Amino acid sequence: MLKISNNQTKSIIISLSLILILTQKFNLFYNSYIILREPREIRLVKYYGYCSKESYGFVSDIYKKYKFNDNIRTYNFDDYARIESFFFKNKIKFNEKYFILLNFDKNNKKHSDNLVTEFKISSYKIIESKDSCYLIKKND
Amino acid sequence: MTEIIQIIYSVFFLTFFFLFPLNKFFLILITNNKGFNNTDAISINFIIHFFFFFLISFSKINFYLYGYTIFTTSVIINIYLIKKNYNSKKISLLDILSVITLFGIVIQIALTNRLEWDGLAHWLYKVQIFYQNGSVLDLKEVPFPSYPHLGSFVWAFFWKISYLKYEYLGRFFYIFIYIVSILSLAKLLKDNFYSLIFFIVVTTLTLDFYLFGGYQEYLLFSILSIFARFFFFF
Repeated sequence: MLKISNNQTKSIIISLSLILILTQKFNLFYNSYIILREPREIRLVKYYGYCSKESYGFVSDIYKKYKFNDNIRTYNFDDYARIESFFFKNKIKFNEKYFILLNFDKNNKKHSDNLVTEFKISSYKIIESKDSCYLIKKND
Repeated sequence: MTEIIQIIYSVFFLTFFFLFPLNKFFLILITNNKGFNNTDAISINFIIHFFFFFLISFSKINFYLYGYTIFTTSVIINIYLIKKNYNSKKISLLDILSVITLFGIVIQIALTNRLEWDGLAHWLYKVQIFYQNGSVLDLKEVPFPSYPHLGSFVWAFFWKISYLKYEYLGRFFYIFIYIVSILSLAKLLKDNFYSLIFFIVVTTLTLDFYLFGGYQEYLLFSILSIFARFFFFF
C-alpha cells in the first residue's frame, strides 16, 4: 500500500491550497464558463459598449449594414479611444463623406463646435442613429 | 467550446514554437552545464525568434509556412526528447502554478477582448497592416508611424496563424513571454521554496491586465528580464 508521510501530506495540502487560491484569484473556471456561454461578438459589445464607451456594437452594425468598402472615420466625443482601428482596411483611403459620431450630444455646444473646428463638418445629414451614436453624411 | 479549444491550442502552439531551435537537452549538450531548463531555452529562443521576426517583417514571407514549419519541427523533436527523458518528479509546484497563472491571464484576456487606449489608438493599426499582408512601407499611412513595429508584427503573426482569427489570440505571446521571463528568473534561485515565493511576489507586483490591452510594456519588461537572466549564463 502507498504510504504518505506527514511531510508529504503537508506539502500536498499546501500545493492544493495554492492551486485553488490561484484559480480563484483569476476566476479561471467562471471566466471559462462565460467564454463557453457567450459568443465573442456579444462579449465585445458587453465590454466596449453598444452605444456607450467605445461603441463597438454600433460601429460593427454600421459596417455590416452598409458594407462600406473604404475606411470610415470614427469620432468619439467621450473620453475613449477611437474604435476605427478595429475595422481598419490597409491601403484603402478614408471615406470623405461618411463619418461615425459616437457619444455625440447634438444639444451640447462643445460637441457641435468640435465637429466644426476639429473635424471640419459644418453641415450634415443623419443617415442612421441610435441614442448618442450617428452615421452622418457630410453635405457638400 | 471551439474558442476554449483554440485558446488551449494557442498556448500549446506558443510553447512548442518557442521551444525551437534550442531546448533543455541541446543547451546542456552545447554548454556542458546541467543547470539549464526548458524555461531558459524558451528565453533564449525568444530572443532568436525576435531577431528573425524583425528580419521577416521587411519581407513578404508566408506566415503559415514559417509558423507551421517551426511548430511541426519543434513538436517532433521535443516530443521525442520528452518521451525519452520524461520524469514526472521534475514537474514542480512552481511549474504548475505558472501554467495556472498563464491560463488565468489568457482566459481573462479572451473574456474581455479589451484593447485599451494605446492598443486601439496606435498599435492595432500597425497590427492590421501586417495581418492584411501589408508591408512596413504602409506604416507611414497610420498614426505614429515612428513607433517600433516589431511587437505589432509578432502580434499580427500569431493572430494570423490562429484558426479562429480572433485578434486577442495574437496577444497571447505577450502573456506567454511575461510568465516565462519571470519563471526564468525565479528558477535561478536554487531553493524551490524561494523560487515559488519569488514567482508569486513578482507576478503579484507586476501583473496589470490593463497593460495586456495592446501595450508593449510587458514585451520590454520580458526582454529586460531575459537579459537579466542572461548575465547568469556566463
